Amino acid sequence: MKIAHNRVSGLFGLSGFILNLRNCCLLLFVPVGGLSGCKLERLNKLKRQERRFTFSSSIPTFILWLIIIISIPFAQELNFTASVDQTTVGLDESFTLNVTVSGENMGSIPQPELPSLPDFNVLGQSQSQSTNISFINGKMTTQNTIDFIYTLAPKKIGKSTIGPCRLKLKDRTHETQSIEIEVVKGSTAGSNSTSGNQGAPPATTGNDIATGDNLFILCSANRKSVYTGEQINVSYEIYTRYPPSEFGNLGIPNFSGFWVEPIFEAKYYDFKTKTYNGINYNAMLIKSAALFPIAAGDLQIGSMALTFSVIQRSRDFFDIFNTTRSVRIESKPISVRVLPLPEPKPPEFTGGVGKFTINATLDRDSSVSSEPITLKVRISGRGNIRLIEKPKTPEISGLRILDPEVKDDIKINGDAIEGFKEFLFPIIPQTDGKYVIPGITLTFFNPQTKTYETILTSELTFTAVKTSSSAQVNDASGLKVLGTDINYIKPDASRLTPQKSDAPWWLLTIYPLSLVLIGYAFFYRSRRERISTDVSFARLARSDRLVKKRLKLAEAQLKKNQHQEFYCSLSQAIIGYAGDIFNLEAQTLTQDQIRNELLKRKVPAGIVDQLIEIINQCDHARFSPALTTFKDPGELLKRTRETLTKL
Amino acid sequence: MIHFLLLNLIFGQTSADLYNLGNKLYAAKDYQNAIASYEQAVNIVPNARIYYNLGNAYFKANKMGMAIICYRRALFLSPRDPDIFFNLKFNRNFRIDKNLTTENLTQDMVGRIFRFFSLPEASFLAAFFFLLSAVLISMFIVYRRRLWLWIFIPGFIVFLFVFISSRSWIAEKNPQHSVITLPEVSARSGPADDYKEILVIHDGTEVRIQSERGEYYLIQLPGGLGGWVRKSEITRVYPVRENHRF
Repeated sequence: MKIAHNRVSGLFGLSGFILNLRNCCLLLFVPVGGLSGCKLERLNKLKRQERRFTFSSSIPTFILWLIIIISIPFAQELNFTASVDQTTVGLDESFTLNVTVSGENMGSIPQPELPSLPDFNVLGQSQSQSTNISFINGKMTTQNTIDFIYTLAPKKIGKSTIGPCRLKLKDRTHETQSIEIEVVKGSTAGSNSTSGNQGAPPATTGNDIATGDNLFILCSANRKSVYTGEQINVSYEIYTRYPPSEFGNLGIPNFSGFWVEPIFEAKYYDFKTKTYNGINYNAMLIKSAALFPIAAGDLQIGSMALTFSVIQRSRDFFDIFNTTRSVRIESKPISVRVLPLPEPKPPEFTGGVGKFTINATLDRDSSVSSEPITLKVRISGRGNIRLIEKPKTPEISGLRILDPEVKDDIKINGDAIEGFKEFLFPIIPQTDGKYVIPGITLTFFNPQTKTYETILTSELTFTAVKTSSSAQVNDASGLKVLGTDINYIKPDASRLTPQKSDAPWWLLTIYPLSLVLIGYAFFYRSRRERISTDVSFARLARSDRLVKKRLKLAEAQLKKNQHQEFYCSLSQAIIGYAGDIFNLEAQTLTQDQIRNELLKRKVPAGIVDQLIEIINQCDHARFSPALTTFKDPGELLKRTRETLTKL
Repeated sequence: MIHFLLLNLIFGQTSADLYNLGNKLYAAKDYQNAIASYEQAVNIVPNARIYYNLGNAYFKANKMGMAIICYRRALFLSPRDPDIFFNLKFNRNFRIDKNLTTENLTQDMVGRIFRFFSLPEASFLAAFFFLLSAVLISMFIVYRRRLWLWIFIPGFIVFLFVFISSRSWIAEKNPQHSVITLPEVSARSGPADDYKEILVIHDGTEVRIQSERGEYYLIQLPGGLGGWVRKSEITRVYPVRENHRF
């Protein structure tokens, strides 16, 4: 809820008050002042700064005010400042010099003395007074603020100085700082403006919105120095003097180096009035978290950034709609010193920092046929529970304790992190018997006492029957088998050879080759069968071999100069080959019969003629060597080969 | 002593040196470093002995899933080693989810018989006996003598046996085979974190990868149950990588 602050009026009796019910504190507010010679423009501007929720005063309020003012003792502390609404002004523009006198329990204030202003024209003057009375814890404080507002117009371009204003009060002279004004040509709408007037809300009509004291995120940590693993709480709050409005988060702060447990996360807008450095703000807690530093050193807690929507009032008097502008604000990062845990750490320390208790339970007290039993070790308390590592389990002969299943649950109790962490160890009995699990210890660091503490669980017992090795416990030989284990490792080796896990690829070629072999066997078998049953096929099958043999014989005879035999072999080779191919009894045929048979079997006439001619020549050479005209038997052999190939 | 040995690890060493170093570390009960040493040795030279000792080291370090993987790889290379067989069986009985593997005795025996020869041995024998059978049947075809047929039949039976052996090893080498290698894993009904948990399985459970989706595998247990688990939670027994010994 926003409180109305400022009200300027030409009439004396305008006032307003607000009851802030939520904070149970009464704030009364009456502006008293006069207006003289102010431009209408100025009046409108100031009127626009009125806030909602102001009530027009009534006579009883006014009377109450009079009583209060009379009862105020005289002031001791006085705040006297001067400010301008813009430091760069156009020559055609006017600007405001605001001289503010504020203090607690002030009496009447005389008009401050303005310095001589040779470079400026004083266009108008107005006054506004506000009194802020608050009852906090039954104590009343009064804060008076009187603003003397002067409207000035520059006379020339260049830098000018407004000298210090003076205020004489009870034999003391108060002085403000001098202000430099830069006067430029034309207008400077949109230039920087200094936000004056500490007591008044910041102007929201300018293009720039001053953040700084008016809007910021406060990041605070409850401790500046902690041990590694000790809890530190950090919170982010937004403080604004603008009307509460919505804002958008720009990501999560960087908490690197910490284990984070969120405590609070704002889900809806919940602004409350809060005083910070003596100024009232609309404040809201955005986020708070418990951090557990992981390592020692100076660690930074990251800043939070968000965009805040500032509601801006329209310049137009008749425009009732507001516009909003979003402003990015970011908190300052803070650093914390993280101290290392004191040395020497006990060897059984498992990382717990805080205050814990431990207890251990078994889910059953007997195990049948090596059924796993669960040993539950529960660590509960306050501190960095999630960071505690599993406690050491004892080595017990005949039992096998496996890696645990881990569960944890964390609650937030006020600001502290509380909860438990459970380690569920499956235990597999390997031999029968009664087993005792000795106490399990937990050693943690207590930051309160700054010492390591060790706590212990009570002993647990259970029995195991019918384990997998139970049959061997009392062997027929009388040996007692205590337990089983895996076989021991293989001995050292001087050389290790790589073992192949794959067969070579070429092994696969054996399969098609074998099939080809079987296929050939079939082919060979059927051919042989045909040769033995089919005469013409058998003759055809052996014709090639036979003719080659005869021709070779002829060649050999030629080399030995046995011409008679040569011609005989040659003619027999031709006749025999033709006979084999066409299954003819050629040896008994005459030349004409051979010719007819070959022509019948569609052998080209040219080839037939050539063959007959060769046979004729052979016969001539054999039977009438003197008459023969053919002198070159080698040439004849060659011609025979060529002709037979064509056949 | 051990530190000195570890320093040596950095320099190039033969597989046998690393293996012997691993044995020393194992004897000193420093199982983590023994695992590292054996892993390096087995990367240089794939050998059943190293895989066997590595499996032992994993078992002692309470990593049953990895131990099962190592024993299975060792058995692949040396299927007739009784130590490997015993430890694999011991390890399987040791798991939390042991009731899932319901191997009966006959299945066990059949498995042992058909895995008497390793994959390369069975492949060679299969090729040899196939060729022999082909020669014998060819002789029979050509000469039609019954004798050849009588010799062919046992040869072909031996071929069938070694052929089934080799197929069985190839089936074993299927990259679908994988093992849970985390203490406890929840299988979900879909391939993302927000699906319902439908099954809790423990270290050492042997599963089959049915399909792959993003960061998840759909696995099936021997009983037929299944679910989606993260890829990091299971390890393949025989990786799919090429040019790898396994």
